[in-house]
Amino acid sequence: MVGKDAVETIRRQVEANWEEQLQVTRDAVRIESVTGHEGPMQEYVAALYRRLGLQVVTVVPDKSEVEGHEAFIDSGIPFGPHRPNVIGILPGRADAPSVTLHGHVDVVSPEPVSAWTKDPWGAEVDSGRLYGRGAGDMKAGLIANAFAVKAVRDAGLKPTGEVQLHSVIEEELGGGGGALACLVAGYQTDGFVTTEPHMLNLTISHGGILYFRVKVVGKTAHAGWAHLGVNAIGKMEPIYRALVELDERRGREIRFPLYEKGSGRSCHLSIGTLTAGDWPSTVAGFATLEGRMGFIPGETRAETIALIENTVRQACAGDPWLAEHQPVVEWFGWKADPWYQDPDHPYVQSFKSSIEAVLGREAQIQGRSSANDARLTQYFGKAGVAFGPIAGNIHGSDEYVELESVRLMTQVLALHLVDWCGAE
Amino acid sequence: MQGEQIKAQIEQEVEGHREAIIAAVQDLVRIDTVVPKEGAGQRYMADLYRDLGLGLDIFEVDRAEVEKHPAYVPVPWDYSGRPNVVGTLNGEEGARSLILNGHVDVVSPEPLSEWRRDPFGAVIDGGRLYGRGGNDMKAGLIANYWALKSVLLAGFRPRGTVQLQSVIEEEAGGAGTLACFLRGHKADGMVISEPSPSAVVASAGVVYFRVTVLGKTAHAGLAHLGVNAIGKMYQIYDDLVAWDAERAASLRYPLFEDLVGRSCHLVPGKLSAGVWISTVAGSAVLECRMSFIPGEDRQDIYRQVRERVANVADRDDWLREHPPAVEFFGWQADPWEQDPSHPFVVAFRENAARVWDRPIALAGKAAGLDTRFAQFWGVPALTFGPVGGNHHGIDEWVDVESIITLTKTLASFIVEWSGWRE
Repeated sequence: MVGKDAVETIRRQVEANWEEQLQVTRDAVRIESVTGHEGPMQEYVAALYRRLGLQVVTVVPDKSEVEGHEAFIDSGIPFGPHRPNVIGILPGRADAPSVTLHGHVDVVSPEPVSAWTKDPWGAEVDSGRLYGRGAGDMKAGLIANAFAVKAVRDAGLKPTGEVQLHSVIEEELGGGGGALACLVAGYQTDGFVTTEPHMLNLTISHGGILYFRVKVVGKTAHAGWAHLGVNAIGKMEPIYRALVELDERRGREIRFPLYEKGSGRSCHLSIGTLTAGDWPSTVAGFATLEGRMGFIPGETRAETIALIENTVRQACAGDPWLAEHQPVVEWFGWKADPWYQDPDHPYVQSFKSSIEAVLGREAQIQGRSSANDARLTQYFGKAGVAFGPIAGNIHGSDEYVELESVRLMTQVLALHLVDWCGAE
Repeated sequence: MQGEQIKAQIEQEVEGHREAIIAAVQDLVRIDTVVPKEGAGQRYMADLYRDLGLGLDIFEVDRAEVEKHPAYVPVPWDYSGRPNVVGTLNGEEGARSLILNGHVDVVSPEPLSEWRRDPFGAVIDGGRLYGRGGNDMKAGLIANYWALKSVLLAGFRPRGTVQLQSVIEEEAGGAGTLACFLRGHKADGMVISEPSPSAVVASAGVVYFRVTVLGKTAHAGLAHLGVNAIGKMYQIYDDLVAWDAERAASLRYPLFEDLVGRSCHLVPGKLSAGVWISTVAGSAVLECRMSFIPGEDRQDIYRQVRERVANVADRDDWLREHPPAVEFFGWQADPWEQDPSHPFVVAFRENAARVWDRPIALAGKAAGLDTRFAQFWGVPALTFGPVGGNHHGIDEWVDVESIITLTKTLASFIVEWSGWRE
């Protein structure tokens, strides 16, 4: 448990360093780092880690080493030294618990930029909020990780166990060359926190996610002979309806209270796009539907894939055209397993107590429907959580982070280092 | 020499050039002229007309001019670099003049993966020439040219003026032919050699329209809070499909029905909905083409489409609050009817029946044709052309022998209609 003195010492030190932390966070927001273009941001982070006196190593992902892993998601973006992962290490005693403070440097595109009222790369501070693409997701957290280490050391403390700072690439596209590559390369610790903007709640779980695509062919014909064609839009309709029905049924039957508390539903099957035909005077000869399937811990990817494929197949039953021209189901992009971290694990309990010591209230344990890098710890038998600041408009226009929440989370992290790793 | 002998001699001339004729069709099919990329195809046609010694009028469509005409169909692209090509062989005053018209543009060959033959390869297999535009209507365009050329090679000259027109943009509205009329190119009769084994004397009215439905976006992880525009659009799609069936069952225009087995069509051709997999689709856009018969009024069709969509919306809580938008865009064509007892039609059918050795039926086409513009200038017109299949579809083909027979038909009709001298 964390003593009151430690809490106060940490609080004062984080406050003392705050102006510098804010400055560095704003610098980080100003560096454009859309997924695939993480290089300059990683150079900045490596320099920051060196200033803190950490040992700095880079991990350039090697596709042959990660692609065989069951959790690998191919971002489609080539790997290379121009976009490394950066790790800062504060060595500790091998017999004391170690920890990773983790963050990703990549951000999603700010387009459409015209929808922003602030400059996405301007790092403007207004009424206690820092605005910009990545301000919340997740440069504030990434920089807070470093300043948590700094606060501990500036306060004259030295964590007993090893502390690693992971600054990784391509989380937004699955983390295959980022978090996964670092773990596969052996950078594993007893505990792991990714400082995603989770509103100061403690995230221990998220649903599985699969992207899929259904392709149906029709038979093109000039519109003047349309009755001789087969319209793929119409042939897609029973499939669309069957998927909607499956979603409604799962919405009723599949229960995972941790998610239901957060979003009102345990899982979603959502159809995002449907495109069919390419010319108004030709009967649509193809239709393509893209969707995202969410599923809960306990459900596997294989059975979820089978569920969708069976649903599509059954929707075609009784239609002679579809029987002859079976739709194709493709799985692409995101294919994340569900993640569930046992909340009774000592690491989670330690983290929870640090949150409660700083915030002075009970920590909210939550699950989410969108994935994050912490899920990857489960493949290595390590404990992992996500915790971070209050932010808004993530992935949207005028993204921001609440600065007061960044101060608080930095204190939580610093306290967590001392509590989990011990201190001398 | 007697008329029948002269025709036989001209048709013999065509026969002697069959390889060159087919090779020219292949050349033209190999030039990609998907609308609006007609430039290269028109250069090819201009060279042909020039070699024949025709008086050339190569002119770009003047948008300001065509826009004033109510039959103009607006297009988003501009007219530079893709002129009409008109070649004229002047004849005597008082002799009957003739226009042979064809369009050089073709529709997109997508989806390419479905083709078993290169859409721009012009491969001949089993008596069929395959490729996008081979049937619709590069075979006819070349037949027009070789018809006149064969008359001249046989040592005759038409008495009346004969004009060849290679026009743009038929597939997107017909500004090419409209511009020819507006420029003063008229005649006592006009043949468009679109694919058809019958003499087409009527065409359907055609409108394009777009229905836009809004849903409510939400992150896929909170999808139950969104409203999927795809599902809302399917209500409208279903109703339009039902309306199409009702119209097909109740409307009769024998000339259309004889040809295609249907008098009218309402086709939803294109649907695009949503922008991102993990966001509930917040909008859906359905693009449709609707044909209607002579006797139906274009303005009334507009009213019916709007009413139909509004009625669907009225039955759904979300759509009632978020009414779908209906806009008419692209093709907006009035129906067309040519009196089949006109001497031009009678003469054409008689001559064609002799060449093809079969009766030439009258037909209507359930698609907009450039012949419809002729009605605004009082020019008798018909469409007649080669035998083929799958136009606008996969593996479009044209029967090679029919190209030769068509060329003979047009060549002998030139002297039939416009007279001859040696």
